[in-house]
Amino acid sequence: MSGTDGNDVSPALPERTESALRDRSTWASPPPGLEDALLAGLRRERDQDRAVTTDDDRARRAWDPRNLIIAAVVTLVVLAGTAIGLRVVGGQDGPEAHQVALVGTTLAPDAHAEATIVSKPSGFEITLDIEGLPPAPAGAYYQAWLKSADGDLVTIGTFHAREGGDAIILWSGVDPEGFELLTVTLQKQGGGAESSGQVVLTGTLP
Amino acid sequence: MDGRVDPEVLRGFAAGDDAAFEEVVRHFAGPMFAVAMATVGNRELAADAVQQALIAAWRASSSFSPDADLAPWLCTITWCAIDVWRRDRRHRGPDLTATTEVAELAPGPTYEAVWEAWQVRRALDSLPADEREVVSLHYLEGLTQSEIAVRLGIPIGTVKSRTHRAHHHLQQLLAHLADEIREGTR
Repeated sequence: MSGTDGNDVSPALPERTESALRDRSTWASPPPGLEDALLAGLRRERDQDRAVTTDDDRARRAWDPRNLIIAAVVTLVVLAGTAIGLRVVGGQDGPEAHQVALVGTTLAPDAHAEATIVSKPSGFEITLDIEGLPPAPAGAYYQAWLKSADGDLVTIGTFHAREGGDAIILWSGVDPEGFELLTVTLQKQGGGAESSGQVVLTGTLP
Repeated sequence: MDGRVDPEVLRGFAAGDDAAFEEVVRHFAGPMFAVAMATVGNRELAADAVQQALIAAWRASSSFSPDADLAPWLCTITWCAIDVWRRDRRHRGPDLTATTEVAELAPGPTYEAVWEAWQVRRALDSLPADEREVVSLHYLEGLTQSEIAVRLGIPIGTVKSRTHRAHHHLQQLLAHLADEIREGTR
């Protein structure tokens, strides 16, 4: 923290965090009474929604510009539910399947993937359905990881994706539930067992 | 992250319970408003955008799984709502001041930027008041520790200890953001 009159031993914060702390919008508080006003407005909306009984009423509300906005958002959220790591529980007759969406980083901006995690007797099967990720170049490969909140990494497998678009099946001997992120890195062959830190895909585990 | 919503409230929220939803509003209005302000730059418009986001959240609540973390789900709704709201206002034509028009027409933030701002705000909201105050005086007003001590009428040693605790708390809550930056996720 600069300007601390010297001898400051406070833990350093990431530069982007400090930048956010200097941004007034980060600190912006809702105007007094906004929460109550929001709740009053929401109650009115709920009451109106519940009072809609005729087709004419529904049509009027459906074409209200504000309701068009809200409907668009709801549609986006429901369709994009997995993009924020929502857990989807599988069928009643089989093992639970948890789905996590991964997004490409600046290293692979066109890439995206969906991971399906299923508990099996020998561990956790993680199926990656990836699109937009280029094949690993010669001398390199991709590696998938589970990452905990403390930064601990557990590898769950490697692949190169050079010969087609089949789903990639990986395995974890640890329960993904104790981890925060599922990531894919680009590794250099012969570069050792540690993560290269070159993350190409990342997804938040529920 | 610190400050997760009570699981009973999450279950009520997903089930459409009014009281649970109101609890969620009180819990998250701050970060939602901060995100809206970062995008539209006007308090009145930000309040309107947050209103739209909350209505959308209520209508989509049945799609939320109570086992999940509500914060990223709600942040996504806020981001989507602001984006759709901005495009709708552009389509209907600006009817506000030139300053507001510029704010509305500027490119919207990425979801990653919005989620990061959300997390920083929630971390700030979780700080004790005395720690939050010294952080605010330093980062928003640019005061040195000596100046903060004079402003608050407290010894500089107290300022230093509050600053140290605040930074420690923020680092604990936000360290994962630094990791994601180093690993090229941002």
